[in-house]
Amino acid sequence: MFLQPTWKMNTVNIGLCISAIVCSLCAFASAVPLDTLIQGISSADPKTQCEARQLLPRENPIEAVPKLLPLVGSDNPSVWWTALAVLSDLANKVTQPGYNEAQGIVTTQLMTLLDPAQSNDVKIRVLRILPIVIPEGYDVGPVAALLTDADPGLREKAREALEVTGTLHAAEALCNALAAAPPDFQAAILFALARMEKTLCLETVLTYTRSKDATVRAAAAHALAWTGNPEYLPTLESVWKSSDETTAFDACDAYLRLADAMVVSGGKWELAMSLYRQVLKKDLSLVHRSGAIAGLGRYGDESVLDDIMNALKGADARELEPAVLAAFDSLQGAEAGKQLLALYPNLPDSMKLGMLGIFGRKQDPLFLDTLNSAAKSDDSAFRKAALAALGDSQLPGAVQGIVAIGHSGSAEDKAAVTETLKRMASVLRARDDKQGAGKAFLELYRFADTDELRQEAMDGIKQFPIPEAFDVIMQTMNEEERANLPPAILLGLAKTLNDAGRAEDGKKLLETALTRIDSAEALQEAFKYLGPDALGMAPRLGVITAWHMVGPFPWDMNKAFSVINVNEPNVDLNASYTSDGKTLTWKKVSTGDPGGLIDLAGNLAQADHVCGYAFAKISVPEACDIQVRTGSDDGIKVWVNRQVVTEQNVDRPTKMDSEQNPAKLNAGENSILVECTQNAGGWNFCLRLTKADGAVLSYTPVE
Amino acid sequence: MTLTACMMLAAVLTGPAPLHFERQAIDHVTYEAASICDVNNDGIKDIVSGEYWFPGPEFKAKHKITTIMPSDDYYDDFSDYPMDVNGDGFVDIVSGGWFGQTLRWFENPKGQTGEWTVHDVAKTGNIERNTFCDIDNDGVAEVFPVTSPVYIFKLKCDAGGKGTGAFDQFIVNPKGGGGGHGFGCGDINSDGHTDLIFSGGWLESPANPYDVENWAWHKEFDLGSASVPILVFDVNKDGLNDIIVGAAHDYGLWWYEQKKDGDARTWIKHDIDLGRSQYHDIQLHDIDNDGDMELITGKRYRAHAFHDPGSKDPLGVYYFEINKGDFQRVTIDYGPAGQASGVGIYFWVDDIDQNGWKDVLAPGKEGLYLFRNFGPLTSGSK
Repeated sequence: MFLQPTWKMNTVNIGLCISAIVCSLCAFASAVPLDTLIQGISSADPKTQCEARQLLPRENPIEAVPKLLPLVGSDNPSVWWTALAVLSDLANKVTQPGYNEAQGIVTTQLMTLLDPAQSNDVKIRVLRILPIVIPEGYDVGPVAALLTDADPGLREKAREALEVTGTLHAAEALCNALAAAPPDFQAAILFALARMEKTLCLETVLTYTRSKDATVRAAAAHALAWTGNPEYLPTLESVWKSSDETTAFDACDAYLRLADAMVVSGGKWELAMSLYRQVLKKDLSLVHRSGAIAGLGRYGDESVLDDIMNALKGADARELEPAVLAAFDSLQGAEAGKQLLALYPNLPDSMKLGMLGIFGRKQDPLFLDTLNSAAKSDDSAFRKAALAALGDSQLPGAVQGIVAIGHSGSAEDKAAVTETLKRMASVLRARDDKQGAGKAFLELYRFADTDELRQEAMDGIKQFPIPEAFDVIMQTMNEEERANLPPAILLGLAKTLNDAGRAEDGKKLLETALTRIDSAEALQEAFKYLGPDALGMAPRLGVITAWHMVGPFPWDMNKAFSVINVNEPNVDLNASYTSDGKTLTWKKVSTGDPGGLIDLAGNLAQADHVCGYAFAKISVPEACDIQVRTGSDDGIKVWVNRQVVTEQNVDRPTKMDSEQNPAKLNAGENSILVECTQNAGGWNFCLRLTKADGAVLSYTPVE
Repeated sequence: MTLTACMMLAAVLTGPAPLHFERQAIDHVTYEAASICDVNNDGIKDIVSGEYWFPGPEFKAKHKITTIMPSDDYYDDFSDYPMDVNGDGFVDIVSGGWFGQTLRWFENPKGQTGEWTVHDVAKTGNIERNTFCDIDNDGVAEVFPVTSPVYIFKLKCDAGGKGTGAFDQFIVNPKGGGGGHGFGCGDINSDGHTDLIFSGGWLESPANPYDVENWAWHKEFDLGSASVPILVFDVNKDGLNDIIVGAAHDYGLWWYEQKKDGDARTWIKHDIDLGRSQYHDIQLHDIDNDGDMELITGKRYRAHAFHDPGSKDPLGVYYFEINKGDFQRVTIDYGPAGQASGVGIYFWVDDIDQNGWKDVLAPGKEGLYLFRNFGPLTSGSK
């Protein structure tokens, strides 16, 4: 009898309680002698028994097992069952790596319970545990001896134990027991050998295919079929021919299993297909015909389609349909796909619906037209099947059909369409299919019936802008709503429109987008959507990416920007300078970073305690107030039109827009001079110009 | 169900019985080339594939030959041709690949274990796959790295006909012709000389094939992304050699029937199999011992990773019975990678166990498999 606690505590309390018990038991366990615990297991008190079972250490199975063995013979079910449970734990323990020697010893200890003096009950109990622990190569003689026991129940338990043991010796023992076994037990042994798939006694098994007993013959056929050896084909054929009403099923099943094994073992494909075909051609049981169809589908190619379709001409065609559809689902290869598509129009509606699902799961554009046509069906069952299939297809071209159902279907259809579009968009986004995801998100936006879903769709449109999205935005959003769209979306749409040949629409949107970029974050976001085009758009975005540069000059942080090196702020690009014994001249440098980050270490020198200069000329059409936004590693001083704008004698990493200082630009040409200092480590800066309100300022570079 | 209804199985084996093969997984190596030869001169055939050789007859052990450069989905080893290059009585291996652009041979350490010495023969440019044809009928195959320009490498032999470890190099028809994906050797015009076949036409051999200026280019067909090799064979037994070609990187397998009207030669395209893709390597052997050649081929798995049409279709190993222009496909193995095999870029057919039936050694990115041929099933069944 097991302890039946009454659970009245909540989960947390239970957890705490168990933890407390386990901790206390752990502490207590080592203190309790093994013999005391063994006594506890045989106690009549369930609590004591339960504690003993939990406390009994599993670390030393060799010591514990012999003490537990006597309890297996107890008359008290609670005792022998508990002992068996602990023995099972110990048996599992010794099958772990590092216990090889203990595994053999424990096996020997357990085998003693198979002594003839033991009761059959004890033997049956230990046969439950032995298969766990018997190692490969161990003599299973004591178990094998039970195969000839007078008690059929014990024989069967021994057979079961040997089958589960699964070693070569176990298979050999089963094989050796065949001769003396009665027919029904011979059949049981042969089925066990079939499941064990050992090659050691196939010749012996072969002799049982000629048994007088049809059950034995069928079982022997199974024990050969798993090999996939075509040399057994005539034998299995003969077994089948000689089977009776009760054994025909097993005999035919063996035949199909031989075909399966032929394909799996390789090199016998044609023969295996011919076996399936033979089974299918005859008026056999539905189960076997279905099995043959499954084999043709699982392993066959397009050549099996005629056979399968012919099977549907029989009286049981309707019953075979599930098997046929499953086979079609399994068939692989482009040629099979083409032929399935050709079959579709002539199939009954019940199969057509199933075929739509198959076409979807094939995820092949080959089937899209058929799926999209079905999506327009007047029959709601077809629309529903088509919708599921289009979703499963994960093909961008499926969006069209999904939308068609949404437009023509019921409210229920529309809800399913929304869900399908959501799933489709998510898949295409994960696949980074820009066009497909853009289309799916766009349609999701159109079908969205909640703000949350609309927002999700808009996020997708933002990530994957497509030209059609522009029209949606124009149609579905008023001017204020459009103005509130993130500038990155607008930029992405502008670029996409331009790429799609809608340059005028793109240009308008670009202008709108540019007015909306008012922070470093927005600009960085814009770069992501512009991709490689961002660099070319630098002047439109106010970012200076091309400079004349000179350096390095010695620099001391304590002197900040007080040392004049290039006659700043009056720069002559044709001048040369001497520094540290070297002649330095201005050179043109540009950056590939759309944010204008320019590396002085790479372009001037890899040095510490130096400074360098960068000079650029830009032009704007009208005089204006601006902001000069800079970031630098380390310090920076900027002059605009020879007027100091900022001076940061710092040691820091670069961050865009670290400083935002006002300045004035003249109509026409303007000069910008930067001195960037280097204490140690990285040496770079970035500079961009914005309007006074922070919006991007477009300029024209001056050579 | 009646017993008589289900007892029909004798019919399974009526008609021409397909050959019975047993597939043996040799190793998980994914080199695309392999060959069968006696590496250690013990009289037992061994297997070579990429970096290893596997001693027969069990092929359980493997010994390192050399390290082959991996590149993405490939190894730089597009042929493993056995040839005694240095004349020491032990077969060496001639290799080369697309990425290393180098024709090379691996020197057999006289059958001993230990890595083999690698000898670079020439930097030839990207090698689609080495092909070996005896164009001068001296009993030793010449090496054709399928490159542009068209090279011939002829093994230098001593007076006794033994290899010396060196090759003479020739460039055929420097004025043009050749190139493209695909290459084959054979006597197109029945003049007794071995011509060279390319995707866009064929080069007619002069009487002396090393008279490289006088190969004549005939632009007579467009085979597309053709197999290596392109086969020259009288398919319809009309006395004129025809061409058999697979699509190396697409669907299809065809034969081109040669027609002659006076001096005018035309080619009629016939489909063999349009339902399978990546027939990169095709070979002719009498695999069923009926005295006629069968076309043996299969899929090159992931020929261009998964970019070729049909690359995700099942793999397969096939032979085609040829009957005067009719090709009947017989499937040896078919299924997805992991369950079935293709044949890689350079497979080998030979009677490895000397049971009288030619076996198929199928390398590839799905693993290295040996298909042992036991002939038709009608003999020796239990």
